[in-house]
Amino acid sequence: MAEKQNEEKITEKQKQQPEADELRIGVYICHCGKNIAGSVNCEEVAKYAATLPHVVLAKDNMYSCSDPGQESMKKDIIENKLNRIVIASCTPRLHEPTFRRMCEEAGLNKYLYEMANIREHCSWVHLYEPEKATEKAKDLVEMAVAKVALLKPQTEAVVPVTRKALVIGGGVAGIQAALDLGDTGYKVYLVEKTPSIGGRMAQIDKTFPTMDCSICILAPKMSDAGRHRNIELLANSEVLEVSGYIGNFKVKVKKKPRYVTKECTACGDCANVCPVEVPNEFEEGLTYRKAIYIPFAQAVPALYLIDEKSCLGLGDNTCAKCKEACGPDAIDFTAKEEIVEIDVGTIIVATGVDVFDPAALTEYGYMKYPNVITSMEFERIINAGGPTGGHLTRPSDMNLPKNVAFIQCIGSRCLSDKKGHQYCSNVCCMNTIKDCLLIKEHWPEIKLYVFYIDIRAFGKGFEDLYKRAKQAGVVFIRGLPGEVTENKENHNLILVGEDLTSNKFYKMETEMLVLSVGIEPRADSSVIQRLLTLSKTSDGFFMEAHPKLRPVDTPTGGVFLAGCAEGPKDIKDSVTQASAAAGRAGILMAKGSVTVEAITSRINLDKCTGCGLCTKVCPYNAITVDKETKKAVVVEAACAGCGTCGAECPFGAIEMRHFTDEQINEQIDAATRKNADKKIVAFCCNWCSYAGADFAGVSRMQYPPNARIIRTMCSGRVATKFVERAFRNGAAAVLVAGCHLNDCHYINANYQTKKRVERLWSKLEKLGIDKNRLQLAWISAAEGEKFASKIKEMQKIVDGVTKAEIEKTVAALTPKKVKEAA
Amino acid sequence: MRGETIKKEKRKEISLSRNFLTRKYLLRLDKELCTGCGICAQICPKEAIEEHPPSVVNGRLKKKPTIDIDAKSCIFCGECVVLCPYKALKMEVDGEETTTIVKNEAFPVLLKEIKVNKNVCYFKPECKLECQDSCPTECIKVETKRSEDGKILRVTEININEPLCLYCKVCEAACPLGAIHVKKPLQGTIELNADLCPEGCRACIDICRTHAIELGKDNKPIVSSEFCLFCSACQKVCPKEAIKVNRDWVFHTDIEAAAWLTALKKLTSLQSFAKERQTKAAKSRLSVIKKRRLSE
Repeated sequence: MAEKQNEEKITEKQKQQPEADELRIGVYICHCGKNIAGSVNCEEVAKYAATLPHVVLAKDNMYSCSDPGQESMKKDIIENKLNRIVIASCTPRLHEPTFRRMCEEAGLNKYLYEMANIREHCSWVHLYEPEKATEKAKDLVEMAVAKVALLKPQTEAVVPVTRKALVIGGGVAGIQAALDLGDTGYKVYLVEKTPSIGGRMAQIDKTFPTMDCSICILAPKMSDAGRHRNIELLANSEVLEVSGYIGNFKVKVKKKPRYVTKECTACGDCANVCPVEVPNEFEEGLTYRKAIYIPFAQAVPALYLIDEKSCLGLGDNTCAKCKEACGPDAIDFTAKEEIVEIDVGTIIVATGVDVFDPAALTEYGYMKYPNVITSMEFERIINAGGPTGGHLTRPSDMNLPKNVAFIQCIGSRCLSDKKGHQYCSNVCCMNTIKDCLLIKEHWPEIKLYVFYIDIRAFGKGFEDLYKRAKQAGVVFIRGLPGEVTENKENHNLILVGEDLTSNKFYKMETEMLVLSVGIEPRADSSVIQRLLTLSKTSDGFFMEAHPKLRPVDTPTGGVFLAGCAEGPKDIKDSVTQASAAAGRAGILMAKGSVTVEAITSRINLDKCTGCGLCTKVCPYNAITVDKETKKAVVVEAACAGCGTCGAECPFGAIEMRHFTDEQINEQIDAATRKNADKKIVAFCCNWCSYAGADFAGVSRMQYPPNARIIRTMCSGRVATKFVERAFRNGAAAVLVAGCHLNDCHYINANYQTKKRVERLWSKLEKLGIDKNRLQLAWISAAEGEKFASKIKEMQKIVDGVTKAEIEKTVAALTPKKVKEAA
Repeated sequence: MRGETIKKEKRKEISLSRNFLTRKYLLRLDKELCTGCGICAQICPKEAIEEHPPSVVNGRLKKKPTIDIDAKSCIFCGECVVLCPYKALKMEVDGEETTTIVKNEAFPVLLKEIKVNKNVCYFKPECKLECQDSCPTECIKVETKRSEDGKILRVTEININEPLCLYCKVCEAACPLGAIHVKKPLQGTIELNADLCPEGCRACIDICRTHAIELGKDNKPIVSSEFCLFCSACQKVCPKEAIKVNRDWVFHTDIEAAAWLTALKKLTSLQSFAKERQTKAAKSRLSVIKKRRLSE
């Protein structure tokens, strides 16, 4: 209701605005307390701003983003009939939406506003050069004023959102997300690669800290998901292709053949007669399964399937013992894989984790000594449904061990990448504590030893469980064994290490050793990454949009993360995150529509010749050449606004709204008006390199104050003519910075940047211009250090450029006939 | 991952082992017993066995053909073990010599037999130990009571080391009293066109384990199909394709198994496969009629 009232307020106010033929620009220089004012003289900058063309009001204020700050600016807009606003404060990546909203509330179209970044890109990085920082701030304000003068009011397109969701991955997170969305009333496709949903949780025996039986609490959820009215379960299926954009994804799913039809009653007669025995994946290779099998007893869907790799041959005449034995005649050797196409509005990625394989850590003897097992294998052994019926047996002699040792942090918290992962896997400490209590419950006489680096018992009820374990007599020793050797006679294991609490070496013989292995991102997560253009953090898990404020969103609109795909976590956190992702997806689907930012491309049909160069570079296939009219056509909803087509068009027929050629040209001119021979004109892309420069600011990394950054959405927007203009205006050096080559926010637009810069380098060489003056850098949002180093490196180039060289460059680039490139 | 096949190759042996907590499998290839005949490679349902060609230099077999098993594709069914004529492939499940596929009643066992008729042979002085001397694998040991000057008085005991026996029937032919009976599992024909033999070539003779091929009068190989095992190793080593081996029947235990029919088709020919199916069909028709008669 409040929303609606606000909207009405805006339109009425807009009606109150007089027709503004003349530009009335208002400029605000924010102090941001001492953050900006500490190194930049804000009053001086405001005074300078007042001298710029079309500026009718220039003020400096304390905290622009605060409520009183915003109220005062709104009042100014209305009283002074301002029709363009420039706020010089922090990075637009932080507060552009805030101030856009403020403009709307004051009755001004939100696209008539521009921000100058004088904090992250100025005051914070030039803390010890206040005069130079102030000069740079003036330049940045001048650039913003030049651009804002050319901005036009825009309306945002509204794109419908399909009210259907896709959940990739059927572990507990995927199941929870599917149930939540299904219960809300949306249709959900739950796609799972393996033949049954359940994931890792189905394999473990008990959960911590409650010691609940894992499959007992999971199975009801699995059944619910399997027969839910709104959930279509596609097990034994893989996602092949994803195309489209937020609210309108088209997904191709491959349904792999089971060779068993729905008539299957899961009686198991077929498996009894199948003559092929192969390792059982669900039982972690501890026992066998037949070529026709059900993954585990509680599988959903409760259907058998044939593993064609192990089967003697899928034909009536090859073996067919299963078909003979099948009562309901449910076996169909002619089944083929099926490809289904589904339309969804949102996607939740819940692809889960694999367990770390400690075979590479030869010092622990896994697979060398029979009595060394992993924690997951231990779960299957101690599980009543597992290969030993729940009896704790030593693999070498199938007897009950008298003592068991656990070694923590296997494959986690490693210093070097060769031995494992650097992160902590979250769950292993509590898992071991739970395992110890389980053993003590059944066999109190078994002695237990846990070798650890730290015990991480951070969650609710965790410390309690840890105390219980210590009270039950489990011995915790701080200091992992350096090496494990075997007593060849009885296959006992000898552990040698240092106890860091008592500073004494220990040598212990134990009958059984459990390696508490970590969890790692699934080996095939790169496939999903490529399909959905997701990013991965350095530990290999999928990257969230913001680690604190948007933990289940991804940078790709409409795609969310849930469960261990995002990072190692226990069941409670996976379920929590799944419900969160379902909620976020639900927001989009409840609204039923999403507004597209008005930065998309527009074709000037008079100038377009239908050459098709734009169609070749669009990463979203949003632009095509109409066969009849022979002109380019843009699907606005598919256009992401990267600007690569605009930069590619040789006829200037494509206008990139809010980042037009004229606006960028004005920014270049403003930047190079004074002392161009000392300046670096830097084109930075919004998602990576601009954010990297922001990060340098946030980290207070200092670098020389001669760079003037022009923001584009993508480095693909940077046309060769912009670089040439900068040099023609006398700039000492130009930097073009974008995302790393395979991480472009717009999929692959930065490959065009690379090509253009390489062409420019050849051209500069031919003209006898030092090509080092044009630099190309791939800087990610986390690489503030790299940005700062780059500017420092380029400062040396700037210092080395002579006035003669600059004059020669200007002459070489000025065309003999003054032809205005549109 | 645990439970994966571990392959170990030594000079005389290739072994594939797969250890589960509750079951252990071991497949061993004795490289010395193996002739590289390739029957295993032919019938393997997962095509996990690769053949390597022989090396024939100046008419002599320098290196016999060999086989190699791919650890990743092998499903430890054991069809190769059942069909190997030289018992070069052996499989153990939980330490017991058996194969998964036979244990699960999805494949028959070949009928091979060697029996000595004691009444004909023992206590007879005519024996000149022909069986013992003629056996190509030296698996027959005849114990005799001899006179003081070494003459054989009578046969007291015949011990056949059956694991070494190839069921080639050489001993059956050699015994003057006809006291040994051997059942050969594979039946077929072997043709050797001596005109194609290169001068001085003896590769087939070198490879034949039962000496069914010998040097004839004109210094060219000559084959006695009575002793041939129809393994076709000779066909593999012949540099001029002068030998043609055809298998047309296999004696085996009675098992209803399509897996066997598939193997049979690969081993023999379409005709044999059809004949076997007809026999099976006739048998099943008979059993249906019997059932009907009983119910009437």
